[in-house]
Amino acid sequence: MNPSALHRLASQGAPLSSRRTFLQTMSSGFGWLALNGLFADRSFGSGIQLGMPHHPAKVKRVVWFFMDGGLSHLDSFDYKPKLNSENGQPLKLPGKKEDITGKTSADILKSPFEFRPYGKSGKMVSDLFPQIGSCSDDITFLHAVTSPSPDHESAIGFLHSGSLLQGFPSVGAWTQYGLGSESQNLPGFVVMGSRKRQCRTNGFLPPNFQASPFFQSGNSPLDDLALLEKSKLLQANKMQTVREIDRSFLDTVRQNQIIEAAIANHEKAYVMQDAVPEATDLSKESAATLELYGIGPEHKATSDFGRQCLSARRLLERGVRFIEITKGGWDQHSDLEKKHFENALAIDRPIAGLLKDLKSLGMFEDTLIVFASEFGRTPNTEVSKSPGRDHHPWGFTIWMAGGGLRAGESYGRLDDYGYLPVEGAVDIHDVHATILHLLGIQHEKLTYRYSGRDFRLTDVHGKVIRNILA
Amino acid sequence: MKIISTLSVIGVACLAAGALEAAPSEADGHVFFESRIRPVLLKHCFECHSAEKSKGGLRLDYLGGFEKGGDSGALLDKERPESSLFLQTIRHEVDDQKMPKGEAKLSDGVIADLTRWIRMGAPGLPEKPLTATEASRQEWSQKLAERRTHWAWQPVQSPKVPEVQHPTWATHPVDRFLLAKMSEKELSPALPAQRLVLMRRLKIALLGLPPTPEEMEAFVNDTRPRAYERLVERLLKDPAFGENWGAHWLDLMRFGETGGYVRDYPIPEAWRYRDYVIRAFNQDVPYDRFVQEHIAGDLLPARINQELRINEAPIGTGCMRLMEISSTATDIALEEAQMVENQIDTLGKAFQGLTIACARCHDHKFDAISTRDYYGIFGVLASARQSQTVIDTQGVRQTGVGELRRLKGEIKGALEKVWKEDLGRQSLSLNAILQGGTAANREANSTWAKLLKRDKVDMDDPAYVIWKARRSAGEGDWKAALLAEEAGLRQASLEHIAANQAGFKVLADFSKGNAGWNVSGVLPETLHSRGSDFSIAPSGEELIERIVAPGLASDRLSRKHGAIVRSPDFNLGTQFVSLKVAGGDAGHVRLIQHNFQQMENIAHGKKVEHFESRVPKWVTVNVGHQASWQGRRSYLEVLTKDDVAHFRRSELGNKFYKLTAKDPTGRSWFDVEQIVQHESPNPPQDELKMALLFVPREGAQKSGDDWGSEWKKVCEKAVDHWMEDKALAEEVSLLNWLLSQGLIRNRLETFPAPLKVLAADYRRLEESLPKFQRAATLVEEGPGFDAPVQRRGSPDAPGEPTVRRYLEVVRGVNGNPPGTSARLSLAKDLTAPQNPLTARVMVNRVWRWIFGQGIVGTVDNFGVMGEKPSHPELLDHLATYFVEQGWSMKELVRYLVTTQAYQTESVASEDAQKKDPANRLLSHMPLQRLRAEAVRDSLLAVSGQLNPQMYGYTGPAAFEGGGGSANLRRGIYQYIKREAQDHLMVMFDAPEPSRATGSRESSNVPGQSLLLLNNPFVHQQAKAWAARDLQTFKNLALEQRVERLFSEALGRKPSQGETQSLVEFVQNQAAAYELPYIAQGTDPRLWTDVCHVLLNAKEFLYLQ
Repeated sequence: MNPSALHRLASQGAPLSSRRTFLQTMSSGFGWLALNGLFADRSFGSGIQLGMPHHPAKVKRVVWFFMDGGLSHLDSFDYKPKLNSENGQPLKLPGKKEDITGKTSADILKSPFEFRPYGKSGKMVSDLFPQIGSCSDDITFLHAVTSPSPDHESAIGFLHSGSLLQGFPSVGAWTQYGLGSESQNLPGFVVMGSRKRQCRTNGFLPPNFQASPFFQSGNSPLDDLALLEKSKLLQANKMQTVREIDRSFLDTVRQNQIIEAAIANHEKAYVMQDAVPEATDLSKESAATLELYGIGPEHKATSDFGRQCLSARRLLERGVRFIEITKGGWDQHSDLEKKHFENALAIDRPIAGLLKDLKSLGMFEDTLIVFASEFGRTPNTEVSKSPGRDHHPWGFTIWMAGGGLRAGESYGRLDDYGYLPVEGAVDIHDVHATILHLLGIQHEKLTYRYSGRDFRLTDVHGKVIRNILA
Repeated sequence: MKIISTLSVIGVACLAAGALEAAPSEADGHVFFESRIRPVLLKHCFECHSAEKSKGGLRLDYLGGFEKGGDSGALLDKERPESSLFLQTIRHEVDDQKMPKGEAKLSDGVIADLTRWIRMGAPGLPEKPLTATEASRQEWSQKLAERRTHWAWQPVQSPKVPEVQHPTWATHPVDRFLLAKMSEKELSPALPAQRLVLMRRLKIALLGLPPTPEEMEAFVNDTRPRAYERLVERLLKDPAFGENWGAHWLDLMRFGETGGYVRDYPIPEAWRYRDYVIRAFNQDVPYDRFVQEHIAGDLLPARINQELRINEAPIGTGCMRLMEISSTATDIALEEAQMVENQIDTLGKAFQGLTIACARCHDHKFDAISTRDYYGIFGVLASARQSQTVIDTQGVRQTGVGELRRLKGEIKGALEKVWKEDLGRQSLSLNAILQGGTAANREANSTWAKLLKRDKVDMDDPAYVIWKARRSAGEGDWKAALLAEEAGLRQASLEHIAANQAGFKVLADFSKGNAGWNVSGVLPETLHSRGSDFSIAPSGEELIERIVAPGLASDRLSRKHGAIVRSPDFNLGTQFVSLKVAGGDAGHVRLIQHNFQQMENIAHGKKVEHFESRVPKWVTVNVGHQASWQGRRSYLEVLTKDDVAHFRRSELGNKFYKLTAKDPTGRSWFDVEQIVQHESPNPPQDELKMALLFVPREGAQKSGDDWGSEWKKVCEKAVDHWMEDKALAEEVSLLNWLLSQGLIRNRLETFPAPLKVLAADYRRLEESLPKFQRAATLVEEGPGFDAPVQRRGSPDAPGEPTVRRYLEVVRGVNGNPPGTSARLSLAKDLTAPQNPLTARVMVNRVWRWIFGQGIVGTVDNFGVMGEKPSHPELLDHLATYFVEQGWSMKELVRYLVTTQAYQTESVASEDAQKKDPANRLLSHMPLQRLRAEAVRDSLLAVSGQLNPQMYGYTGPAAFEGGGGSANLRRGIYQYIKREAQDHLMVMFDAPEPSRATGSRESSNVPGQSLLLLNNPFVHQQAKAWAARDLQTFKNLALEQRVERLFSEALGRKPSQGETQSLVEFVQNQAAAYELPYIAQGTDPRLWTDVCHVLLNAKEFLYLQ
């Protein structure tokens, strides 16, 4: 939308409803920020000036790594030597919860992975994540996160939307709703590696806040992006004719704003056909960069995930606000040693690569990286030929890195068995509140009026975790 | 100044007191308290000084509290009321105790009221402190009194239609209401729309399909009066009306066909609800009846669809089955709470425009809905069970039943004869063996010889006694040997009986009847056999499947007669349940807790067991680890394959559900005799009654010589009892044993010819029975229960039980009389005359679907936080009209589209833009984007690819491979898989089917343009369309071809400029394709491109 149209809209004092429609037109990351002024009138009913941070933001964008299935905190970032010394003995703990599947033995399982100290902080990280371990001075660990549900589905929903019920927007959609995108030609909220609705849903927010799924099928990074015409010219001719017909329609409806906006979006789509492939084209990246992310024929295990991470960096550079990258397959009720190792191998280097790359590009300071699973896993084992662990939402690890955080610190502690929080317990609402805080948003004020009340990502809960803020 | 006002206040107070003293009455004091005092106390005092908090040790919520006072002493001074400490504090006469704390001083008027009240002796307050419950009730009744004054709770009026002056707008009542409002703002309505614009608007609004050039021509050329009205009538009769309006309704019912989440199982028969809705709109089922069917269609008188020979009514309750359900839940009480929340949310929003579900954790923050209201409805819905229900009419269900019975009777008679022959022959054979010698040699390979030659025979074997006696006696004294056996056998039998009595609790014994369990299915009344029956195998070499003992058998006539046997609710206290049961073709038993249908989870133990036995034997269900089942509300169900309300992994098979029986006619069966509960893992032991049949009674004359005839006598008696329908269970077992050993005949080839004919007739008739149809429904089984309030919405914090009922504000607090259905009562409360919402909410929805925005803008929320109606009188006029017209939805649609308002052009005058920019006064028709279904269906209609087939199952099997003609049916038939919704539908704002959506978004994003530019589906339609039209317009000139395509897509003729653009486009594309001039007219690529351009025109997506 050109500035003059905007100006006209504002000066005519267009009604809220049509202004709102008009804004929805623009809200999928296309010029949203430019429209801040129009929100000053509380048109969304909630009283905040959307798109305008409540306080100076520490970071502009988020990469959210989601480990689907339940990565074991005890085998990755939360070192509990007592599991080694009491391996095989029954776990006796006041406050121990009912086992979830009923198949869990009471016996403690020591981690099959060695832990080593990394960095100045001497952070103990297991051999699953040597590369991420080497970045631990840049990472802030939350070791006593809790979630209310031991079921994958509700817990994944809760991790993303702060609600156990369906139909609530995910954190990416909220971010998009609050801040929009800085990119003119790219969607503001992107998910990679999963089509799971809980990750990408807009819930009750308008549909344009839903994530765009990248790299789902075929060669095209985004659905409907690839031209089917044999040449660009053939499509350009079509575009030209559509423009002419649309112009005459616009005259018929006397410059109706909805039609104007639809025409503008058609032009935007036309541009996106080039902008998106350019953004995800890795061919001009240097050999060193590809190596950093573990991309190439000699990197069988890491290439796919590496490509997603590097594409994510390119999208971030171009103003995409929120990118979720999923790695599934962490639900190791058995065969923990082998499967956790394979999963970790695929992501360790690419994630560390992204952290390092962002640092070298000077983007680390205004980016937030979050690494989370819907829950952790139990210290006691499930018996099987090759043992595993059960779901454990009562205390697990999430880590963050990037701007505004006390890097190289760990906050919160579970008991010696990694079971229940002893200090610094936080819940998912607190994590959400902190993410929004770093983005310059007060979580209590980012609300959306739906079915007669103002909803927010943190429901009626959530405290910013001040202890990890720089 | 201050002195004067104080004095005057006292003066007023004295006067008032004086007046009161003239006619003192308890009632007056009470009224005064309720109207003037309680609201003040509630607002300013109770927060700190009542049951919840009593700051300074003070409570003001009962008289004693007032008298006693707090830390500062008594509040009342009966001698000198004006000097009471209470009044001093509110008059701010005491330092540090200026009440109410932290607020402005109360107004003089309020202080005067309080003073007067104190002088009256503080009437109205309870003597004793209220319990927390009483307090909250009282507080609620106060809130309710305030909240019910909200406009939406007021009775629907029948307002006078305004008189207006206008050449065309003065006729239709709706126009008159609209014009009157416009006139207040000095606005005038827009001009009438052009005919073609109107036609496209109307056809897409009513049918969701674009007009064809032929229709347009006919309409334009129809110069007779009332052409438009005739068009309306024609479209209302078109079956596509139900497909289009049904889609609106499905949004409200958050219609989806899978359970969502990771596994995303299909919901069985979900599509039948969709078809039901389409039919209901087409048949114009009165809306009040339609609503009642959604809540309690299973409890209403049948609504028979004569054409389909089904009862439509119960299908409505399917709406309560279509929500998302977790497939990995471990806390099923919480899962139930969430499921019912979704049901209540849907019920509240869709039928009442209320956010009732907001009251799950606390009283509604704004509306007249309490938490008790919420759990009142919760109990109603949670008391219902989820079930598949056979919807075929009685006539269909009874198909062939009489004839099958007759044939069966004849077969039975013929079998008696055959079997008695067999028994005679077998007894001779047995004797021959027992007597030894040449006769024995002759019989060496007989059945009996084999039975007696076994190395080991169990005590429960009917041949055990003979086998054992022969072993121990050899050629010796038979009588002695047999009698010796008796003691051991009887002893063992007694021990087994004692052990069974000690270790097992009988849940149900079906030998005498249904044992208080619920029986349903195709022919539920025939399930119980009092005497002994037999079951005929539908195919195979053997005729008899088994002899049926007294109990509940689903296959007494046919395995197509599916059935369900369900227990009353009970609290499960043991880990094991065992059933004496036979069955096959995926007949099975399930343990259901908290109505949670998803039974695949390992976390819940193995709660499903399949039957794979021809004759009844014990099957044990191990319900798994304790935490998940202890103390849970449970029931058992024994059922046939298609009767399971489970989310099936796929329609073709399932690793937990062995739905491998691929019989397309749905054959499946079970036969259950007894159900017991126990702690130890083993089922009850056999009580050896069958073996004991052969033990001679003391004193009986027995010898080896006549053992054969003794054996025959026992067996013949069993046959006789069977013929007389009074065989004992052990006799039935014996007959089954005889059949299984071949001691009596069962192979068809061995039967005499007349029996063969009877058998063939029976099987032919059974084969011809229809496949019975089920729908996903609710059922009411048992008295139900009052649900406890769940504090803070948590099932782990149950409070007091709440009476099952609908909202207090609509129907008061009384429950329903015993023996009546609370659910049926709720259904009737929704449509009762005293419910002001149902009609208002629905007419507002229809208005929204026609005019693009509601009279109440928030169509799903008529509460305090919703918008107020722009035309309240019009809303009531429509609600009244709707009810007067018998709740006819078609009549309402007709009423609205025949207004002048609907027929104006969609351009705002400058005046309108200035005075009413949001067009709330409807001075012109708003421009609307096509709904997702209409976008899709228009693409297909224009291309000629639309498959017009109506109704029926469409997935997921129909969609395997993602293509096929099923994909070319209308949007409403597209399978809604929650985790993978159709891309085009989502892109154009089909809602996520989680919660009721009465007003779809109409977004406008680049993704939509990308889809129209590059999606293969769109390109295919362009190609198909061009190919079809190329045939028909071979002889047309370029301009005419372009015009034809244009009008097909956009419903009007192109302007000269538009034609010119397209002609130039054809030429440019020809150049780009490097076509020689001669090929231009025929190259399909060019016309495909023209079509593609037209499908990308904004006018294609928008309705003027």
